[in-house]
Amino acid sequence: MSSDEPVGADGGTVTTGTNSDTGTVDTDGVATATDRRTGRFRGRVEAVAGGLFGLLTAVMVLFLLAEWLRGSIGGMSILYDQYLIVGQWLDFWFGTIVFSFGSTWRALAAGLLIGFVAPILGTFLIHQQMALIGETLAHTAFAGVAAGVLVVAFTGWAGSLVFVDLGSQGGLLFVALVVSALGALGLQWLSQHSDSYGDVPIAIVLSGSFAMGTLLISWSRDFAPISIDIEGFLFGSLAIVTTQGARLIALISVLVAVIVAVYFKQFVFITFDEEAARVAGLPVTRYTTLLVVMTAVVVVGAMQILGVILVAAMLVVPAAAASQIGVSFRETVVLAIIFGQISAFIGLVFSVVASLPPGGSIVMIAIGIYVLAIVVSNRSVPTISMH
Amino acid sequence: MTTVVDVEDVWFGYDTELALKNVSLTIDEGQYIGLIGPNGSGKTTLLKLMLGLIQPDRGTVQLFGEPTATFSGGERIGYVSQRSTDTDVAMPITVEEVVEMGRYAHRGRRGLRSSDRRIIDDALERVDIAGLAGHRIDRLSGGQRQRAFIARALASEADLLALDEPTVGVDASSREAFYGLLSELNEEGITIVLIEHDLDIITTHVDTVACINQTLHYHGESATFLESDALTEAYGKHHGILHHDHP
Repeated sequence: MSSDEPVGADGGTVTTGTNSDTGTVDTDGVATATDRRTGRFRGRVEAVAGGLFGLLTAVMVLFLLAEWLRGSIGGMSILYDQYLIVGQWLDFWFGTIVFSFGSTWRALAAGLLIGFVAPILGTFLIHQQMALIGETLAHTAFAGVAAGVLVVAFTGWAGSLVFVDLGSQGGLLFVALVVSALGALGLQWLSQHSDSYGDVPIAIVLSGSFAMGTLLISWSRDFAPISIDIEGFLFGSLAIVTTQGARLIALISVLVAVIVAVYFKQFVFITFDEEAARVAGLPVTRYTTLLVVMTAVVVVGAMQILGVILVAAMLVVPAAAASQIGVSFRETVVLAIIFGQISAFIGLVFSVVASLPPGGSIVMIAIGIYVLAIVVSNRSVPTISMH
Repeated sequence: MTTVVDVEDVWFGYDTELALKNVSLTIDEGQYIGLIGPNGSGKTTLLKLMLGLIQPDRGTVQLFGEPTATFSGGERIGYVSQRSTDTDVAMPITVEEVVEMGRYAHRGRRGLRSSDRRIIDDALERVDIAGLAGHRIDRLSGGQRQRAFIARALASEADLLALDEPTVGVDASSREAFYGLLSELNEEGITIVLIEHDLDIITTHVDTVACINQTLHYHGESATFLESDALTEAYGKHHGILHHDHP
C-alpha cells in the first residue's frame, strides 16, 4: 500500500486491510448523504463569502470609476462625494482623520483589487511550482521603471497614450509593464530552451534584471528630469499610488479577471496535468505564456503598494493558505481571494493608522492567516500527512 | 479492422543518446497491448511518440490515420501519465473536478452542460468511486486515484486509453482489481496501451506484447511471449528480478 491512507466516504480514514480486495471503500448509504450535506453547506458559505468580497471589489472599482469621471459626468461627482461622506463616518467611529480623504479610498481600492487578482493567479502558479516567478517579474519590473526613466529623459514623453493621459508616474509604470511582460516572455523562452532545472533561469533573470535596474537608475540620475522614489518602489508606499497608478490597477484587474473567467477550465487542466492537457489537444504553451504575462502585468500594479521585494507574497501566501483548507480548486481560488483581500484591507488600514509601510503590514497579516490555516487544517483533517 | 496507432520506422534520440531505433508497430482497434522492457529502454518515449507529445527524429507516427503533429482528435485519447501516480502532488482539487477535465476537449471555451454532468456521473459510477466525487484527489489511496483517472478517460469518451505504469505504489489486491476493470473496458471495445513492468500482469491481462529495449524485440501474442527469446534479448541473461512472488 502506498504511504497515504485512503479516505472513506464519510471523510475519515479507513484501514486498508478491510477492503483491500477492491481497493475502494464502501461508498453508499448514510455516509454519502452526510457528505453531500456538508458539501452543500460548504458550497453555500463559499457562495455567500465570495459574493460579499466580490461586492466589495465592485464598490472599489466603482470608486475609481467615479474618481476618474467625476469631472466629465455629473452623477459621478455626486457618487464620489458619497464615498467621502462614508469616510467621514468611519473617521468619526474610529477617531481617525484618514478615511474622509480620496487618497485613502484610492489606496484601499488599489489594495483590494490587488488582493483580488494576485491570489487568483497565485493559486495557478504555486501548483505549477512557479511560486518564485512573481518575485522575478517584480525585479524585471524594477528594471522597467528604470528604463521608463530613460525613455522619459530621452524622448521627453510625458506619458500620454493616444487618448489617455497617464502622467509621468503612469508613463513609468507603462514602460515597466511592457518591460515586465517582455521579461516574462524571455523567462518562458529560457526555461524551454535551456537544459537547466526550472528554477535556474528564474534565479538568473531575477538577479540580472535587478542588476540592470540599479545600473540604469544610477546612470540616469545625472540627466533625467524626473527623480523616482526608489525606496517607495522597493518597499511599497501609499504615496506612490497615484490616481494613474490606481486606474492602471483597475484596468489590469478587470482584464485579468475576465481572461481567467473565460479560460478557467483550461488553466485548471494545464495546472493539474500538463501532459494530459497536451494530449487532449490544448495549446499548453500558449496558456502558460498567457498566465505568466498576466502575472507580469499584475506584479507591476501590485509593486506600487507592496514594493518590489514583497510583491511575490501577495501571489503566493493567500494561495498557499487557501490550498491548506480548500477541498475543490474552485473553493481554493475563492478562499485565496478572501484571504488576499482581508490581508490587503487590514494591512492597509493598519499602515494608515500606524503610519508604517503598507507592504510589510499586508504581508505580515497574510502570513498570519497562512499559519492559522495550517493550524485549522491540521485540526480538521488529522489524517493528512504534512509534506 | 481499423488501425489506431501506426508507428513506422521510428528513430528518436535525446541529445547524444539514442532512445529508440527502427521501431515499427501498429495497434488495431480493440487491442490491449502491453509495452514491456527494462528501465530506460524507451517505453515511455515510445508512448509519448504515439501520443504526439514528442515528434520522431526519423519515421512517422499516425494516430487514427492522422500524423500526430497535426492530430486534432485529442478527446479520443485518455492518458494517464506517470505523474498521475506521483504522491507528492498536493493540489486541492476534487475527484469530480478531475473527471470534468475529460469533457473540456469537447466543450472548449463553453461551459459544461447537463449532458456533460450525466456523462461525468456515469464515468464515476462505472469505476465505483461515485461516493468519493467531492473528495480531494490527493487524499485518496493509489488505487482510488487511478480509478479517478480512468473515469476522466471514460468521461472524454476515449477510444484509446494510454497508461504509463499506472499501479506504481498501489497494493497488490487493488492492482488486481484495477486490471480487472481495464480488461472489462477493453472487452467493451476500448483500445488500451499499457506500460507495465510486472510480467504477471503482462501475461495474464493483455492480449499483445511489445518488448522493447531501444529496438523492438518482440511484438505478438502475449501467450507465446514467455516462450520466445525476447526476454533474454531485451533484458540480458539475468532477468529473474522481474518475476514477482505473490504471497
